[in-house]
Amino acid sequence: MPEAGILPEIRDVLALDKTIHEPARLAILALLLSVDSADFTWLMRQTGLTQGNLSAHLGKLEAAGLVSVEKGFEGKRPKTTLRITPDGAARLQAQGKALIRFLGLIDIRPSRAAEKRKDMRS
Amino acid sequence: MTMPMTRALYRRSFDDGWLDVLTGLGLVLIGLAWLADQIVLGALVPAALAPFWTIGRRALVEPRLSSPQFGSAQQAKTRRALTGWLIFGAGVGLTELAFLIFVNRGGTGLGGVGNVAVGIPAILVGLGLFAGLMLGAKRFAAYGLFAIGLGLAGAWTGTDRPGLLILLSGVLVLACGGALLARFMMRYPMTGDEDA
Repeated sequence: MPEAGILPEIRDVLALDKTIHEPARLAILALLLSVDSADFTWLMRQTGLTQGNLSAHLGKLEAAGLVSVEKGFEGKRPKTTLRITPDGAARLQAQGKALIRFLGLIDIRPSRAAEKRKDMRS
Repeated sequence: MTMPMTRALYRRSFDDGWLDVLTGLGLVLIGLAWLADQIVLGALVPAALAPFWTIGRRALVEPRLSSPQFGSAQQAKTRRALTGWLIFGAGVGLTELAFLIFVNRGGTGLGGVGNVAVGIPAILVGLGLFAGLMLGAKRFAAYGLFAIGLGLAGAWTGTDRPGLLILLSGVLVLACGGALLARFMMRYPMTGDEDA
């Protein structure tokens, strides 16, 4: 089938970045996007991932330039500070928009009014 | 403008119960000071307990859950909320002082208007507890309603001990805070050294 016949929403969803799209990494990036910075323990508690699993995901995100990892100490305790990079934030937002456009095709996207009501309740 | 996830995470950062424990303890101490006729000591309680907010967070919460750095927009919102709470607290303090002067001038008997006035401190405490909503801690509305209910009940039954009403409000907040804190500590044991 020629590419010209593919709906743009489907083309975009097929081109989603799999580094970001993996559920645990998507959650990690979303959490880091909503704060300035966080440490390893907080991220582990918020995601429910094990130490090894979180380390592995962070390694992949760091290698892809989506997250910055800064190792240091707080007193005598090692502390790893994590931030989403500007590139990571931009790519996550682009990915989110592509998904929203795609889900809109099958009526999964909530209406704007419902979104607004939910936002006001929070 | 903050994101919905930032606001949700921020709200949850007060779910450990430490804020409730400190607030409840403060009300219990204020109530006891009133009962012992040491109202000036009661007025010092908020200032005396304030440093324990950070001490408790560092000792009990952060080693278990840690805490992220929220963005400057969220921090500014918190500053505004806490400033509002402090201003409201000062207003409550001044009103209670005016109440005391009113009661003292009327002698020790609290007949007539005094019966209504005896519930006012607890009602004001209840209104003050509603300020917890500014931090997104919705349970503080329930505490506030309880304190207001106690104030009204105290006025209706004609009690002459406003300190007791504050003490009882504090006991409820302290008990709920203790339960929340215990649940938090069981859910999140101390972490060892982290490794990323």
